[in-house]
Amino acid sequence: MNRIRATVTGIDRRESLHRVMLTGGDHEFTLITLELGEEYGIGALVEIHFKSAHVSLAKNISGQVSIANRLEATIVSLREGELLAEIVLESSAGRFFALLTAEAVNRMQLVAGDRVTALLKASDLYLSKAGEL
Amino acid sequence: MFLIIETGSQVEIMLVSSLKKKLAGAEGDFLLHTDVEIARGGITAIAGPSGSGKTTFLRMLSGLTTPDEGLLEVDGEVWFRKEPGKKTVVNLKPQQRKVGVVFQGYALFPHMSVLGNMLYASRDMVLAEKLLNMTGLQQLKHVKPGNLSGGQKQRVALSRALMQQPRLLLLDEPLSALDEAMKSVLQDELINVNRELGVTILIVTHDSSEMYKLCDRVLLFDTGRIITDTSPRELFVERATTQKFAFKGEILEILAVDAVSIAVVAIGNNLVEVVIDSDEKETLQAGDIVIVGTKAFNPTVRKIAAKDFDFSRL
Repeated sequence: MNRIRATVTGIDRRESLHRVMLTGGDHEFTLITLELGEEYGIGALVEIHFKSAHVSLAKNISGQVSIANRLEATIVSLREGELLAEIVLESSAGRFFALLTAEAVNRMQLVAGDRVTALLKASDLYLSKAGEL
Repeated sequence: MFLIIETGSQVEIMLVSSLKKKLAGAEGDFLLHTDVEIARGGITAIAGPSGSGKTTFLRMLSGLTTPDEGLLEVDGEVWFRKEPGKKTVVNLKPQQRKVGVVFQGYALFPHMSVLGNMLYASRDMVLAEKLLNMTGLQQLKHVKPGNLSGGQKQRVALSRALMQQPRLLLLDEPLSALDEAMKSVLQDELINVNRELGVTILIVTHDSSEMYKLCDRVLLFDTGRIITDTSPRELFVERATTQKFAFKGEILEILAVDAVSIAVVAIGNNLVEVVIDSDEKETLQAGDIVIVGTKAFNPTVRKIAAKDFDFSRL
């Protein structure tokens, strides 16, 4: 799991459903989850976790996209398989991985050093107390 | 401390007040010290690490182990009472207590039939017939235990315990030796027994799904103390991380496939494959006990057709 350290800045609640706003590095994050423990109050130091397979990458992105979270990042390295490729990225919020299809890497001609935008859906982000999980 | 002597409450069945027993543990002696009130009609899980005093607690309730001191009162009747430094005032024998006990081992009389085992506890033929029907043993009532499956034997043990019309039914890991399908069937029967007969149940179990399915309350023991007293939902769902879908399993193998790694994990009777990130691969290996989880957004739910699934009663 990718981990990004962040601080809770806001919480909206509708019954058991919660939207949590966070800040990590230079980035704002929005996360949607069911029940939220009391320990995740505003100001709590937490980790945002997400699977590499849940990361999408965009290059020269324009137009409107529904995805709530965008992370400006630089490609550090790529490890390409026949079908899938694992990309290591660096952002102001820390280092993380993305798992893309090898076909997408070729189509976008992704190479180390490229500036890209990582896209993360709010419902694909997990929350844990810093150090747990 | 015997502050509460009157227990006129309609809902409460059992009061345990400063019931103490010195126990020898693996890391030295410790004091089992319990204070708890149990409501009538519920199913309460007794959980906690081995050697934490769970079984001794049940044995003190049933009269098989004598506490050092304290008060035990059930349904307004004192079963045990001894104040510190004084003589024991009350200590009812196990057979004087309206309590049924079922342990993991079946402890049935091998030379008696199912019905014979039940009637040994009480000659009440009407109740025996009712229990045989409730637990699906009607067709097997003349069979001897040697010819029964594990699940059937445990049903007989349960029925025999219920023949005494207990106020309390104490179960010490009664289903832990059974396979998952059988366990599930017997869990349903326990719920049925609880509802239909109104008997109050305390069950020692390590199985979180069992606690969740059966119990309205969990008492978590640790070195002789009840450290947590809560609902299964609070314990397993709300206190966990924001992951909603989590199962304990064991990693059998980690395979490298193309640019990813796949962990093969045994969860209960099932094997699942999970694609793991490369940093996770570094920290995991075969034999690790793990939690496989995902958020509530990810699992899919599909209704199964009867032909997909045949968990016929074993």
